[in-house]
Amino acid sequence: MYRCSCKIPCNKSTTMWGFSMTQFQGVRARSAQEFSGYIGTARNFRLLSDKLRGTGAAPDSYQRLYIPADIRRVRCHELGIPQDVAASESGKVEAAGKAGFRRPKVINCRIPKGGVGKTTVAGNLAVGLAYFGHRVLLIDADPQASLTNLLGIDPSANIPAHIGTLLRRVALGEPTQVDQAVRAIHDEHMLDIIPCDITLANEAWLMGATGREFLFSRLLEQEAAFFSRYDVVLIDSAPGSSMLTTTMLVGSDHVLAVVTPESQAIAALEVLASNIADVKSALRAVELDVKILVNRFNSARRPHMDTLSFLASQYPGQIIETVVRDFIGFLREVSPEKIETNAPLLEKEPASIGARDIIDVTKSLIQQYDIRIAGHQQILRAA
Amino acid sequence: MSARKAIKLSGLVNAGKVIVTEPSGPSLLAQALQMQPEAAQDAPVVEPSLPAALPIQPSPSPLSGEPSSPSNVLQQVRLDTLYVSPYQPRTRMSDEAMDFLRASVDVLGITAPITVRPVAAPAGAAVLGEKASPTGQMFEIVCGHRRTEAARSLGLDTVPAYVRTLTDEEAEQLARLDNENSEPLCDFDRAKNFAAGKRKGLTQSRIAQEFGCSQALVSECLALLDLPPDFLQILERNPAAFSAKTGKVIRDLRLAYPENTAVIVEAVQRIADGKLDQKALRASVELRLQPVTATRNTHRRVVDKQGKTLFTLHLKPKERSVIVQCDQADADLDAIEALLRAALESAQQP
Repeated sequence: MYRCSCKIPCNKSTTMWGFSMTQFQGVRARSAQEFSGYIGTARNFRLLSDKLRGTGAAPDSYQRLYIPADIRRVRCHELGIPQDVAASESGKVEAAGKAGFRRPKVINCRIPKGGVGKTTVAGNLAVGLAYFGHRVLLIDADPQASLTNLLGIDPSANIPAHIGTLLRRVALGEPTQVDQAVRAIHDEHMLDIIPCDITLANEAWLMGATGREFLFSRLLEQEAAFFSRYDVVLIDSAPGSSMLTTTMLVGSDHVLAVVTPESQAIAALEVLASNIADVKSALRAVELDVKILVNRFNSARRPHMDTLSFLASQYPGQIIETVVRDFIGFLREVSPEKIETNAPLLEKEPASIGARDIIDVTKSLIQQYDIRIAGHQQILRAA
Repeated sequence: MSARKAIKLSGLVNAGKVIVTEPSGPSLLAQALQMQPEAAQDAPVVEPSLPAALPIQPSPSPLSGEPSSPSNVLQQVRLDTLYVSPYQPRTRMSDEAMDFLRASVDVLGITAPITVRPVAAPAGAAVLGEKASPTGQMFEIVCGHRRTEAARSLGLDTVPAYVRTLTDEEAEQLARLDNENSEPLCDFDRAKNFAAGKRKGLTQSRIAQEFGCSQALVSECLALLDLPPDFLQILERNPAAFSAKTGKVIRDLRLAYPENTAVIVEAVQRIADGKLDQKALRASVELRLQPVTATRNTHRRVVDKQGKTLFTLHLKPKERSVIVQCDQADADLDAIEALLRAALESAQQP
């Protein structure tokens, strides 16, 4: 094993061929402890985690890594959620005598302007939520497939089905076969993705579909059992306005508008407003909540401060408290040559400043959107 | 996970870096979202992290030089109606700078009007003009002492001035701040400025922020004022005598030689008189105070009744030699050698 060539101290090692062996393999004990909100000694955390895992303690488990599933188990233990509920893959609920399925929170990262960091935010947020013990499903709804790329999947390789395929099957009344489209990133469904490729851009068929704006909502209903296994669904939308983006918008609960503190990104908020207005005027039953996340903030730049002042004045109460700073590490997420080494910053450099900001944003969103583990409300302790 | 703390929007608002104003109307986004008010609220109630309307926080600016009333009249003011500001920190104006200024005023007149404020005639204040006119409005100079002095020395009658109504606090602020920008104040005058800030209870960093300098400078200048009265006297007579850095050297020397303050004062006086360079202070004092036992090659002098040196004996223990140097001009070396030989041979007797 060789140390990888970047100078950031981490537990990752590389093989002779240079790709990182330990991405998506977990975090170290201290981070795991913070994520799971466990208050106690490191030793007790380790013992508890081993006990919940059901395996005996390995001789040098001292240095081992914790995957999101481990953290979910400890978290549920701390929150008093029964372990079988936590581990169950289906979120069946009884409501008013009728059996149903839990609906995950659907968050749509959408802003009409490209290049603000939507994909980065979506990918890192998903990893953050997974490490906080939630089961997350990512949907790449951008034909550019940047999210797919970010998670180390080669879009030009065989992608049997993407979200467009699934929606088409719903429109045609065919069996959806959702599992065919899902790729696992972390074990035990803690982080799954429905990747896509450029063929997602073929949406001409959407034109003729009846009730095309509701196709995504219908998919969520039809495959309620499948979706109930997740706590959160995160969608990375394409920047432009298209029939697909409108469809995805209609089925979402929350819109996360990522902006950079520059005036063009701010202008895009107005375009988003007109998107939403169009959708609402056409379809009465749509309820959307919009939160604004400021990305790539550089406090040394006066125009950034000024734009932030403008935002805070124009959109009071809608801006997420933590402002994500411009951090060079975000550029290290992807490399054009070795797609399999791509991973969000939170995986690669969990102790960095960028990761810190992401974790804060994640906590903030968990509270604001009331994201629950297995349907149980959680009270996050202050950091 | 030990990374630096995150930036929070409310933190920036509280620090005054982000300024929130009332929007002129609801944003397009807000309007779009509110389009269907009768839709059922199924989503759980979320607590927003910021209140619905952020309070307006005007950033406090230290330079609130805007007068309380909008009067900012430009008029010609007679020199003999002008008082020097009691807040003027500059105690002495450097001669060369005054010469330049005087020459320029001679040619161009006063191009930048001074700032004055109307006052009632205070008792005991220094009036610039030769004869104080008891009738008519008196003014206090807020900014522009040097220009006024130049005008007076050239024999002008009036100077152009902005007449503003300022409160005492505003006048003090302007007077202290304005001088930092023209001829730089010497450290002692600066120290007086900073002391005024300290009296108001400001921290050093806050004072540094107001005066646009570093907190280290504030600390050094304030330390000047803590010197014993002997040194302060020198500074009162000539504020530009020495700088704050020299003040630090003085403090170190006093710590090292607590009983020899007089020597230090004398050296500083020599600096003030221009006979000694500030950088040479430490070396000069240490030279005076350290005992002269440095050399291993000890010199022993043999003197006659008048104190004139007859011989100097050099002892070189390493070489086991004693050298007798005859300092007399007309020494008879043979006689001295005979004398020594006799003395040495007699010393062998037990």
